[in-house]
Amino acid sequence: MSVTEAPKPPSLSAIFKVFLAIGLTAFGGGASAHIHDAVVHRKRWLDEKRFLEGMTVARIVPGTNVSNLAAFVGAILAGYRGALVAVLGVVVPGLIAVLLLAVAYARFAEHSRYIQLGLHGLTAGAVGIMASLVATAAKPVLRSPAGMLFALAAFVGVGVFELNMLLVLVVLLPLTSYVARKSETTP
Amino acid sequence: MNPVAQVFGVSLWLGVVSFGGGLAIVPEMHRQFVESNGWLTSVEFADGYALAQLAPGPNMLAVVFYGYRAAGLLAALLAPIAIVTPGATLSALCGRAWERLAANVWIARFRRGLVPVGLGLMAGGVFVVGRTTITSWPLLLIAAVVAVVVSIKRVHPAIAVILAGAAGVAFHL
Repeated sequence: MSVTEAPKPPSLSAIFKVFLAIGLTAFGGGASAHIHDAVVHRKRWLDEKRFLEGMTVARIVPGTNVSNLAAFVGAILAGYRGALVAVLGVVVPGLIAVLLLAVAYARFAEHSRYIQLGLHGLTAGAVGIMASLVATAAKPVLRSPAGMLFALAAFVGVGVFELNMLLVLVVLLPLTSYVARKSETTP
Repeated sequence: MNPVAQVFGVSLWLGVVSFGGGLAIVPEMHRQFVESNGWLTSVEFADGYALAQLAPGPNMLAVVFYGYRAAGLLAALLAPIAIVTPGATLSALCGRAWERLAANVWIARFRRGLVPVGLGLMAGGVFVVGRTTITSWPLLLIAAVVAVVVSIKRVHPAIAVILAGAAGVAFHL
């Protein structure tokens, strides 16, 4: 399918700049769409098919989708050094921001009643955002009774009983992959 | 063992088991940082997660906050490196060798099988953070309003969180 590859691979600094811009501006988990826009549409470094492969890899491999996708795209464009600069680009701005917030929290949060009140509202808002992410992820699962059962089992395991996540994964993933095999005849 | 090394080890572990995306890892993060090692209280854990919403980039950067609370600046810098590296390395390897891997049917099955498990893990994340933070009806109302507004109106998550914080101050919640 790959009719034309990019004529010349981009330089490491060009890759870093694109991913740094994404790392600076992508709030609330929408970074994959930003990467798609930059890499497929604006820069034309990858075709659509290759990018979708990257999305698949980013999901099945452990870790956050954004940094995984950056590593995948960076590796295709410029090998392992490309992967390194792409990941640094998407992670470092947020890393610095959270670090500054952590330092400010340590200095001020315990002493100010207003900051504490603000944090109460802030965490409630964060829970709301998490709930909206869960609602989005729930849509494809709600169609399958087996899927709902697996989701419930994972929730009870890590949420209610606070089990070791590896245990939950080792028990559930083989089962759920096997069930996915059985449903392959239906579209 | 040196606390910085401990935080690094825990973060590396989180990076290896974090299937299902950033929110899915929250229950295991809580278990490690709050329950098993006692580096943070549940309230600090929730505060850190909320503050990470104000920063760009992946939400699991909350681990910077947790690393800082647990063992200071060096741990804060090493924790995100440890958590990102396993997945990023595997992804980069896949970027180089995907043609061969894509032919394997079990990879497709695994990907589809991961969806419901990831959902359950994410719901676990909401439960773990919500349990310690939603301590009153008005706070539950705020969480519900934010969830609905962000889902339907496509409001910027960081703005929604800041408004929720302002509501907390204004109404003394």
